[in-house]
Amino acid sequence: MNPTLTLVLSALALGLPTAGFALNAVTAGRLPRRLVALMGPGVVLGSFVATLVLLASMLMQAPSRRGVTVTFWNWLTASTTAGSGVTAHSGLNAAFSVRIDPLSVLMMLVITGIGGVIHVYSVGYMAEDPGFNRFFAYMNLFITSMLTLVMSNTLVFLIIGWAMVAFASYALIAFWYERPSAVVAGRKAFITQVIGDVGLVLGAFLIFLNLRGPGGRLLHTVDLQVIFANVGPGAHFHNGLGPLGGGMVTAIGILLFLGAAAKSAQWPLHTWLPDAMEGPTPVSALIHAATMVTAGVYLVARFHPIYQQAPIAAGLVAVIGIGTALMAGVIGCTQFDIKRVIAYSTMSQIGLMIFAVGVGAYSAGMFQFFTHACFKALLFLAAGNVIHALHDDQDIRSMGGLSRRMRWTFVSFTVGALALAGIPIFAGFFSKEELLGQGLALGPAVPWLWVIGVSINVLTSFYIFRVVWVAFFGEARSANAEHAHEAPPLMLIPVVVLAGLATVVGFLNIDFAGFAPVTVFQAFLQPVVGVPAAHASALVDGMALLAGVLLSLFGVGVVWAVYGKGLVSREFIPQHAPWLYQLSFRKFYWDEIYDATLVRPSVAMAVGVRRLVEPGVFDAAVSGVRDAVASLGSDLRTFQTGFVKDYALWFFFFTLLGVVLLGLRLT
Amino acid sequence: MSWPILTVTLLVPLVGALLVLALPAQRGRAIRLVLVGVTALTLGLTCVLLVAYLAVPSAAASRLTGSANGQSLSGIHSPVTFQFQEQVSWVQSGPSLSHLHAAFNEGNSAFNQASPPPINFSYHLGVDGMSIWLLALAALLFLVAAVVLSKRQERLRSFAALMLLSEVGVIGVLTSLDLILFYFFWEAALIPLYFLMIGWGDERRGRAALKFIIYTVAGSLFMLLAIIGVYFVTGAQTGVYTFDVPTLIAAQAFVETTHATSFSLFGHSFALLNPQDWLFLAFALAFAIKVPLVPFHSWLPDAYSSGRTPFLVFFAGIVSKLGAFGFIRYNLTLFPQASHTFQPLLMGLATASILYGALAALAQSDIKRVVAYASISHLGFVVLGIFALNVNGLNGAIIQMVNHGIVIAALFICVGVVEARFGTRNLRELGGLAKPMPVLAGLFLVATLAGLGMPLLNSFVGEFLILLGSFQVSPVWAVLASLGVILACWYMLRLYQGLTQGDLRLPGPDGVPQVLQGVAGRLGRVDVGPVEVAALVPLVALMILVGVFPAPVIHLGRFSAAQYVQAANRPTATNPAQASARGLTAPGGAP
Repeated sequence: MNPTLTLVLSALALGLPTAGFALNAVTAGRLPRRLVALMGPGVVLGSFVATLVLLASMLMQAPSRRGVTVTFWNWLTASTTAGSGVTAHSGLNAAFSVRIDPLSVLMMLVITGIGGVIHVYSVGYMAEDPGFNRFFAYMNLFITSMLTLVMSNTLVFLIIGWAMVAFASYALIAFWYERPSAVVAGRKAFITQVIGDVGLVLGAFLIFLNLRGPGGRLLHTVDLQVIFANVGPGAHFHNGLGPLGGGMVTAIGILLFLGAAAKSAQWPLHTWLPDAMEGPTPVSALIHAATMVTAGVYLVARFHPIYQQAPIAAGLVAVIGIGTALMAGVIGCTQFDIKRVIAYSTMSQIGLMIFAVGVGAYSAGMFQFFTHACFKALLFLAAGNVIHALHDDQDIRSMGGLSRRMRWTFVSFTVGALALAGIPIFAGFFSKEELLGQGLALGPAVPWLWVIGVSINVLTSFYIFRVVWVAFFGEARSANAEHAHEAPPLMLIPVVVLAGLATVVGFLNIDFAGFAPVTVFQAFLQPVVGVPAAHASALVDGMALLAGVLLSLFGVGVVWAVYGKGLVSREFIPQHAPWLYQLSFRKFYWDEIYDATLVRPSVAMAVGVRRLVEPGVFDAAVSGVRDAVASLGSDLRTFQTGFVKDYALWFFFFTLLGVVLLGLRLT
Repeated sequence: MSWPILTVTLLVPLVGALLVLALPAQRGRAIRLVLVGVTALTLGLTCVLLVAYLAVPSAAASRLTGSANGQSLSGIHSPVTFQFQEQVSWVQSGPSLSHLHAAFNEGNSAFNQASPPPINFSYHLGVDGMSIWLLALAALLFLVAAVVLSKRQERLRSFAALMLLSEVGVIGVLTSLDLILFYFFWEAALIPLYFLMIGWGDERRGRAALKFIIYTVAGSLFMLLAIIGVYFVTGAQTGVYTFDVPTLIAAQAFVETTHATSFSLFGHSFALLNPQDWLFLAFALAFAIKVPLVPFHSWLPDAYSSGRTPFLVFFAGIVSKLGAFGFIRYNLTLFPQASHTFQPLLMGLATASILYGALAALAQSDIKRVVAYASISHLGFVVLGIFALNVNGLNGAIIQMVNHGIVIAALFICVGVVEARFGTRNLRELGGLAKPMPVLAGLFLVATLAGLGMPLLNSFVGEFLILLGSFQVSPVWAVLASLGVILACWYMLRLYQGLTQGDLRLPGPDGVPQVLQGVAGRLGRVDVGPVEVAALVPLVALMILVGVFPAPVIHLGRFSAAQYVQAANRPTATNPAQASARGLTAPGGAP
């Protein structure tokens, strides 16, 4: 790839949304709405075009030459070299350089492509909002930040992008800042993200301070390519633990995953995501479905050279991923807020991706990311149409019968649901089939993994078709639902486009009846993540495929039986297993647990500091000194004349006296 | 620099103060004009200095440029070098560093000889890559303070004159290269600050000023003793009696610092503190009070919450940095071994400040006290970086001093505007101000984000380097300090969101907050005016500029940072032979 062309194109891809943000920010809402309506989506789509050109120029190269690094500017140089008199080898040097390779281009395509579609949709969705310009400022900022995250070639700018998306996410969750619940949700999301950032930063420190190059020399580098080139199976991080990897590389893997868990809403840092649904629906589609929440998957895939050296950390990643997937699936079955159901579905799906990259099925995880971005954005935007039509009512219990009134939205939502459930020909079918097949081939061959995988499949199709049934079928259960209208074209066309994508993108991963051992998608990512270490046998593949489809259909069948025909009472679980229902409905009580163990103790400590320690310890000490001085000073009050020059005179007199006396004594 | 730029920089505010006093008190406009002009001129001079410093070839700095007492000093290096030095001898008697040099060449016998205690002190100014940034910061913040100073401020003339006098003191502290001169300016800055504190502010200002003066005078006293102690200890061991800072720094290589005595208890051997340790602690106490570090901080919340905004801009912005500056300039260079001995203590206190300040900030309902405790927490980071005693930590500390000054000034202006408009500082009585004050909310948001360490804003650079540096010492420090980062996010958002978001809330007539809906338009023009915008926009622009392009700041500072690290880590010797064996420059080496 031509470095100059790459530099220009990646600068365009990054610069356009940045310019959009800057213009909106500097003018502080004074730009005319029509201009913002053009500029906001325009810059993102421009960025998408630049990415497409990058992709094209990349595909013209041989696979081994599809990675190129370009540097924008030198961010800082804290080290000094031998020539200048003092040397400081361990000083941090960091440049803003970007890496253009298949993995980052894939991410960029989704961010700017799906992001662009969502921006167009937002023009319609936010049309009546007084904060229109602010909304597009933050949306553009998010695109810039997310692009920085995936394009960065240094640890430092990875961290910068990592934290900036958290801010953009915060600003958009708390976009309707008059709502106290939105304000609280935004803060919760931000603080959780900062916890993750700290993990990422500490992991980066460990890499920076401990990575050794050839000859055992400490590298002190933040350049990702240099790091990955030196992580290999040599002695660079290992310190004698054999195939399990060293303690160091395991610690790095776990710390990095702390960042990934916060971003991707994985246990134990998952509780912010459902609350984040306080933000406008396009935000949920862009940030909390298609892009930001998948940054954790990207991180593990990008850092796979490290995770390959750290089986313990990678195993932990996989276990947390599949565990979160199961938990979120269970919770999703009992929620009534349409967006929250989709949010828990996102958490569950990302759990699966995290599981996949944890066991080493990188391209399968990334493919699931790709299809998921399409169909989950679709689900959110279609849900957004419903919410818009119902005047911001998000409770599925007050919907019903919408399939007649909002036909296009209904069809699109159903396409999304089919894709999510993994019904054949829709995108999710291909990605989930590959993910489960490879995950089971690479992961430990233990029965419980099968059971969990199977359960997630059933749960997924159950909770999403429960929404389809309750919201779109039956009778309207509220006045709003009765008077609902189909969305305007500006909001409908993006939804239909995404529905089309959710139908076709899966075919990128067909292996054409075994002619090619690797699929198109796998071949594309191969230069970065390699091919899977193990292939699922035809038997396993076939079983995964069959089981996946049948179990998804089983889940749909259950919904049909419960909500369609009423064969089984809806109260069956609440009555027969109330603890299970409560556990699911109360989201496994994690909010309550964190509140009791982290939030309240911190607040109690803070209040204690303010009420007890400050006055009781520190102020009391000063008062004591003051009183002692005051009793002494009452005799000396004659000196207190109130004139500055008197004080100054005394001051210098005593200073001089002190100098002289001490001088005499010490000699 | 052929003309004495540092002296001129020092004199401009002094002349300005006299000029202000010469004006009639009722001519508020003219006083303000002079004030802004003088502070702007000072800022201009420091900018000239910055540009000139860029032109200094970095290789020139590994020699002691200039000369102490007119003698050439080739062969003996001060690890820290200073530029734009100006030196006028005031009192001079007895042997100087050349004596040391001679003794060094002759061998051990010339050391420790009894010599009469001479007095060597001079008017000696100079800057390095650290102080030059603090100088620029000080000049900037005094200008910003001058801009936000209302011409309707009561007793404007006195305020302006005292402000300029404290600027003289601050610049003096930052530029003086003689301990006596340094001490003079240190105290000289204190007096106008005290009167500014007691003369203007809310009803608790008297108590605040008293606390401040008790603390700082106590600290200064110990520092004075230590200055005298350094003079005699260094003199007694090397024969060089001087207050000259570069000479003292160079001479420390020959000062005996081994623990001479130790006692044994329960089978453990405990070293008794040697004189160097005591002197270190005395300096450290004065600086720890000024910063402040946690057990010595209780003057700060009162002082910061009762003061007027223009006062707080430079008081919080620059005066607190003088403590950190002192740690770097004096503790690290004069007591290298003690710096290592007390590294855990100082890093511990710094971490305690970070966490304690953060927790205290979390529970305050007074918006100025939130910022005050936040400042304690942030300055804990600076000291943590300093006593990491490595390149990353010190680079981070230097840039973070500048960052903190910019951020804290902006935060105080923001909360000051809110206080001025609505007459309350109670967080519970305020809320939803983004509706009536969108511009303030926007600028305040950037300052908030900078305060919580958001990347691509300035504080991130410093905090990242400081965390990295402290991680190099021990991961424990970095992990504890990063808890402070998480808490910072919490308390800064609590402040920002509490003020600007949620329902519009304003103080009601009987102390009960009123929740207002849909009346934002009826509040009239409450958003920031042109003066506040003029003060805030440069600060916010700097936050972004330094965050996106930190390289220039680091570039000027990193060389000095490396030198300070070298100074703190240099081998100390009990005799010249040992010094030589440990890799110090051989006597009579290449010039």
